Amino acid sequence: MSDNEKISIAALISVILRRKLGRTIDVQWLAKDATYAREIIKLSRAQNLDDLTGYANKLETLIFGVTAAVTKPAVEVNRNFADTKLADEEEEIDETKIDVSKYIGHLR
Amino acid sequence: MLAATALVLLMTIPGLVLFYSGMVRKKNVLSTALQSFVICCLVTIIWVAIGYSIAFTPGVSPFLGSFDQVMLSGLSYVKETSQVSVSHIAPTIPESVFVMFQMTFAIITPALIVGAFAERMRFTAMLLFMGLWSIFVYSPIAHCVWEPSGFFASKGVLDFAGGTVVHINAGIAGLVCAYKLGPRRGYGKIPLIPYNLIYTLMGASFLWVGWFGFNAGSAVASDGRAGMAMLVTQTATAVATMTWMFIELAVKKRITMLGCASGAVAGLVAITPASGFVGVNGSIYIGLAAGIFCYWGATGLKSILGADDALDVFGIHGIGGLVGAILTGVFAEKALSGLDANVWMQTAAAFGTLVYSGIMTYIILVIVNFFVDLRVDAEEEEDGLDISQHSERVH
Repeated sequence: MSDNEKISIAALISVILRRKLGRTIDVQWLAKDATYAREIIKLSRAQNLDDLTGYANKLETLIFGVTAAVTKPAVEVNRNFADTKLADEEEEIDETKIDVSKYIGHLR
Repeated sequence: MLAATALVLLMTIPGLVLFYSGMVRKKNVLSTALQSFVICCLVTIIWVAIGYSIAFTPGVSPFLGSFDQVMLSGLSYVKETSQVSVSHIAPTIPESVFVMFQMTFAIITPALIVGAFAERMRFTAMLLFMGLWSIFVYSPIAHCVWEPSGFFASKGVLDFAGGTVVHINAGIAGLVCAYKLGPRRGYGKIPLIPYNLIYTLMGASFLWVGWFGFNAGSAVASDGRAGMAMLVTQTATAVATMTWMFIELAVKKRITMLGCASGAVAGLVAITPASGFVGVNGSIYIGLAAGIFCYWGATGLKSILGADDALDVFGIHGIGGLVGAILTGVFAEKALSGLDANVWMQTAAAFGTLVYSGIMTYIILVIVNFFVDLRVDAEEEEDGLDISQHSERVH
């Protein structure tokens, strides 16, 4: 896997952790150092945020080459109510599909 | 002229404010917006106090106007006798309107530089730099190019609405600022993700509409030449946008919104010096060249130069200005203006401005750095300028 992809996911994790916890992490180091990555992945999963857990799983796969065990969500989703979600919510953008690496060293 | 003046002001507030704010990271949005907004106020005061006099009065030297109109001395309107003062450059409109119209150009030029040092310059240093730059760089160059006794104007150099005075000038100043301040933390290593590109498209749209005041208004009359300037502005912009779009599709296999907005601004920049001198055919070629060269300026040339010109001020305004200034010499039609163009004089004026502005910008930065650190410290940069400089956040 390319370093750019790791850095992209690490940057997304960094944004959410900073926004939700006010915690700043070292994006570059996260993409490089296995020990640091394990700690941040563990911290990310502990927040019980779906998007953050998703990025943590993806980063784990990229760094360690294994598929992460998906943690059980804190709240069971009642499928009967889940079907009543608005169409807009269902079309939420999958941010992992955005190639943020194009913004490394360039804007355009 | 009143409407044209308001349109040019609209280019800075809110045009440039939105255009730039959308491209920086979330933690620097307010700071970037505020810089352009405050420059508007700062330059207004400087222009009235001394800038206009330096730029638009005949001077003892072809490089500098006189100080006869400091604090707009001599500007008057007497209702009883219906007497109004006029400038020798624009005798058909009140001087108050000419002062205002030119003030809006003086405002947007330094505001353009903000994009080059975005996300890392200390606000107080920025204020000091912009004040000095407006007096010692913008006004003398405006005098050289636009005042009939100015060095370049007297040699027949054509710059209808500011390709040299505004865009080459701001572009090279931005590049020098980017070198002097150094790259942002993480530049070239981590993605520096734009906050909200729809702001950028809105800003580009304001710029496009406002540019009709910039170019057509520079005819200083509501006549056939103004109409031609408006028409060629539209065609060059459309062609440049399409050109950028197809280059992007060919090179990156994607058409991006930011690319289209950038192509539009590139076309607007390049047609600026030519707008009162070229016909529709010329504008199409200029738009085509602007799309090609400015795309290269913001990508390939940017890599070669190695400076962290954050929002590609040199790549688009510097290169677009050079393309427009030189091609004005190629495509100018005597029937439209009654003037002959010389491509070599156009080139000399463009590169002369590049050299003067570049050197003076560097000197001003050194002087400002002596009094105030140009750059925020590492922790302040990491926190973002919104918090560290203004104790505010976007939401």
